Amino acid sequence: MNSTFETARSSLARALDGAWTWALERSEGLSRPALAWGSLALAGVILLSVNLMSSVSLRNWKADLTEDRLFTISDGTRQVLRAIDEPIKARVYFSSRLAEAAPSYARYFDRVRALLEQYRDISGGKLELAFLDPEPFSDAEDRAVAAGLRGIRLNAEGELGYFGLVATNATDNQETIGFFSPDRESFLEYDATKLVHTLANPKKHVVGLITALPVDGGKSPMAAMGAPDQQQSPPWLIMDQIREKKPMVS
Amino acid sequence: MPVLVEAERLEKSFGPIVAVDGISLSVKKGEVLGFLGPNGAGKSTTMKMITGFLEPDRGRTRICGLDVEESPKEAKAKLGYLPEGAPLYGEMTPRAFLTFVAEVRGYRGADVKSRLALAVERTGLGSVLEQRIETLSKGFKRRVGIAQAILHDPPVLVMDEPTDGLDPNQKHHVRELIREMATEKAIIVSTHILEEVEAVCTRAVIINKGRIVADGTAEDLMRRVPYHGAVAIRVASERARAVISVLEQHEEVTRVETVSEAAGRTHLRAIPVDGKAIATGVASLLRDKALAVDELFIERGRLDDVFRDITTSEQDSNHA
Amino acid sequence: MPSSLETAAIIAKREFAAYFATPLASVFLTIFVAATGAFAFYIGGFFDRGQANLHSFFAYHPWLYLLLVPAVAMRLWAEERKSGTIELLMTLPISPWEAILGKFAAAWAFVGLALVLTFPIWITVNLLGDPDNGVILASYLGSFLMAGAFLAIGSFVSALTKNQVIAFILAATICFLFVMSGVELVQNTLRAWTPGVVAQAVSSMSFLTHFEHITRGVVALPSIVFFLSLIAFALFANVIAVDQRKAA
Repeated sequence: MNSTFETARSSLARALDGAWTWALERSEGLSRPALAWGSLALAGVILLSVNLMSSVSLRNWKADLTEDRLFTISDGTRQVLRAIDEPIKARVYFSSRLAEAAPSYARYFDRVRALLEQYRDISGGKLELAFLDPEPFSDAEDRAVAAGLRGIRLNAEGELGYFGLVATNATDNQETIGFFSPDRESFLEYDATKLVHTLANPKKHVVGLITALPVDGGKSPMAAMGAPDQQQSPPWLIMDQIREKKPMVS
Repeated sequence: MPVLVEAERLEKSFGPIVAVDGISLSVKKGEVLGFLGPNGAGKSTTMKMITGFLEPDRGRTRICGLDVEESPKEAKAKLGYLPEGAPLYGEMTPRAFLTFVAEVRGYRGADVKSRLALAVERTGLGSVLEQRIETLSKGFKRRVGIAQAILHDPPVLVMDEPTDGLDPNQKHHVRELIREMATEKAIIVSTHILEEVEAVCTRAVIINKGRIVADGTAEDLMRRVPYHGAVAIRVASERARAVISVLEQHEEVTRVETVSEAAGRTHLRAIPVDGKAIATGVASLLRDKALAVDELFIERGRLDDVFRDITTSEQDSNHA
Repeated sequence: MPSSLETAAIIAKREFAAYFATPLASVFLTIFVAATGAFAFYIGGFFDRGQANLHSFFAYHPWLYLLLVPAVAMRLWAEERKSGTIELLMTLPISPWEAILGKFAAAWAFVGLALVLTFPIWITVNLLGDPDNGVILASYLGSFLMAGAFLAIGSFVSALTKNQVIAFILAATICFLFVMSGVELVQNTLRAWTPGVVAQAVSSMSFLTHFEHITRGVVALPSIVFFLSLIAFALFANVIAVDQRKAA
C-alpha cells in the first residue's frame, strides 16, 4: 500500500511540476477562456490527487456510529493481527436458509462479517477470508461438517443451518468456532482473536533429552573442583538445530 | 459637473458578428444621454457592457471612477439598471422582490422599509405591492423594474428602452420620472423614439452597426434632415402658385417645394436658408399679401429620416 | 455592503422561497417520499427480509437521486437565462461566487427537507423492531452529502446551457458515471484489465463506494473528504462556467 502511494505521489509531483512550467510559459499568449478551462483542469487534477491520497492515508480516521460498535477493534486484537507471520486462511460458513428462518442470525452474521473483514484489513492480508453458503447436500456442507461445525435444525425435513468458522495456518493446524451463538456475542472479539492467536503461534512440542553421551556439551571433571580455566566441549551441532525449533528439557 | 460614466473604446464580437466596434462615451451628472439606433445596432450590447453584465473584448467602463471589470461590486453599487424587457422574478410580489433587492444592496430593517416606500411612491406601485409580478400588466411590470433600479438612489442610471410597450399615459409618467431624477444623476436611456429624446434627453448619440455615427442634442440631430425647420403650408390649390412666387422672393427662403396635391389642397414646403427660423416671417408675409392658407406649421425632422440620412451618407462615404 | 456570506444567504433565502411559489415543489417532495418508500417497502422486500433496518430504503437513494436531483438542479441557472433575470442578478452588486453558493445552499436545503420528510419511515422501523439507529443516522448523513454532490454537478451543468433538457441529460449522465464506477461489475472489470491503482482510484471517486461504506455505519474521513471536495470542485467549475458565459 505505501509503495503505491509513494509512486503515485512522485509521479503526481512530476506531472504538476511540468504542468506549472508549461502554464507559465504559455500564459502570456493564453486567452481568457483557455486560462479559465486550464485552471479548471488543474482543479480537477487536484481533486483526483486529494482523494487518492486521503483514501490511502486517512482511511483509518473514522467514526463508528453503529450502536454495537461493530467497527471498533481493541488494541490487543490489533497487536495480535499485526504480529501474524504466515498466512491464515479462514472460511466462514453461513447458511442463507438460516438467515431466512431466523433474521436475528442474519443481523449477527453482519456483525461477524464486519468484524472479520476488519481483521483482514488490519492484518494486511495475512488473514484471508472466504464466505460460503453450505446448502443442504452440497460439497460445502460436507466440508463444514468434516471440519466439525455444528448445524441446527431448520425445518421438518431435517435440513441443517450452519454458522461457523474454520481456519487453518501454514502448518496445517486447524481451529474452529463451531457455531456463532448470539449468546456469546459479547465475547465475539475475544473468541475470534484467541483463535487467530492460537493459529499464529502454534504450540511447540517439548523434546526431552536423556543421554550418557556429552551430546549437549560436556564438562570435564576438573571444573567441579573449581578450576575456572578448564575447557568445555561445545554441544553437538544437532542439538542447536533441535533447540531452534522446539524447547528442550534435559 | 463630474463625469460619472466613462466608457472607453468598447468592443464586442459574438463569433464573426461584430456587435460593438469601438464606442466611447462620457456622461456627466445632470445629463441624460439618449441612445438611438436601429435594431441590432449595438445599443443593448453596449449597455450590457457598461453595467458589467457582459465582458467587453476590449475597452473599459468606469462608473464614478470605479472600473466595472476590476471593482464590479463597488461599481454596481453606484448603478441602477433596467434591462431590456424588464426581466423580473415572476413568482414574487413587488414587495418581496424589492425587499430582496434592498437587502442585497445592504439595507437592513427599517432602512429597507423606508427605501421601499420611497421607490414605491415614485413609481406608483402602492396598489399592486402584494400581487405576484407575473400577474401584473406590462406597465406595472416596467414600473417594478424602475423601482428596483432607483431603490438605492444611485448616482448613475442605465435604462434600456424604459417606455417600450407602454401606453401614452404610462410613457408620460416614466418620462416625468426621468426628468425629475435628471438633475442629481447621470442617466443613459436607449430608445427608438425621437420624441422621447426631445422630451427627456439633454444629449443623444446615434449608434449604427456598432459605432457612434452622430452625437449632439435632439435639435442637432434633427437638423441633419433637410426639411427640418421648414415651414409647411397647406393651401387651396388655386392659390398655390401665388403663394410659391411670394415666398420665393423672401430672402430667407431658399426654395419652395410642392410636396403633394390632393382633394384640391396643395402641401407646400418652404425651405429656409441655413436653417433660419422663418415661420414668423412667412406668416406675416402671407398676411400682408392677403393670401389665406389652411395650415401653417413648422416641420420637424423624423427619426427614420435621420437614420436614413445617416445610413445613406455612410454608404456614400464607403463608395467614395 | 454586506459580507459575502450574508449576500449568499440572502440569495439562498430568495431561491428557497421561490421553490415553494409553484406547486412544483410539493409535487417533487411527494414523488421523492413516495418513491423512496415504495422502493424500500415493496421493491426492496422490506417485509420479506424481516429485518429491522433501512438498508433497502437507502440502497435505492443513488439511483433515485440520478433521476430526481438533476431535475432540481437544472432550473437553477437555465431558468434565469431563459427569463432574462440573470441580467438583473448579475448587475446587482454580487459576485458570481455568492450567487452560486446561495443557489446551491437553497437547493441542498430543499433536498434535505425531502430527506427529513422520510423520517416517518425511520420512526416506523423503530416501532416495528429494534434497528441500529446509529447506522440509520449515518446513512441519512451520507445520503445528504451524496445529494449535495449530485446537486453541485447539476448546478454546474445548468450554467453551461440555456436548454433545460440538455442540462438534465448531461447532469444525469455525469452522475450516472460517478455512481456506476462503484458497481461491482465495473470494479471487477477494471481490476482485470488495468493495474490495481486504476481500480482503486476509480473506486475512491465513486459515489456508490463511499455511500455503501457510510450505510454500514462507519463515517470515514476519506468519504467526507470525497463528497466535500467534489462539491467544492463542481462549484468552482460553476463559477468558471458563469464567468465564461458572461464573456461569451
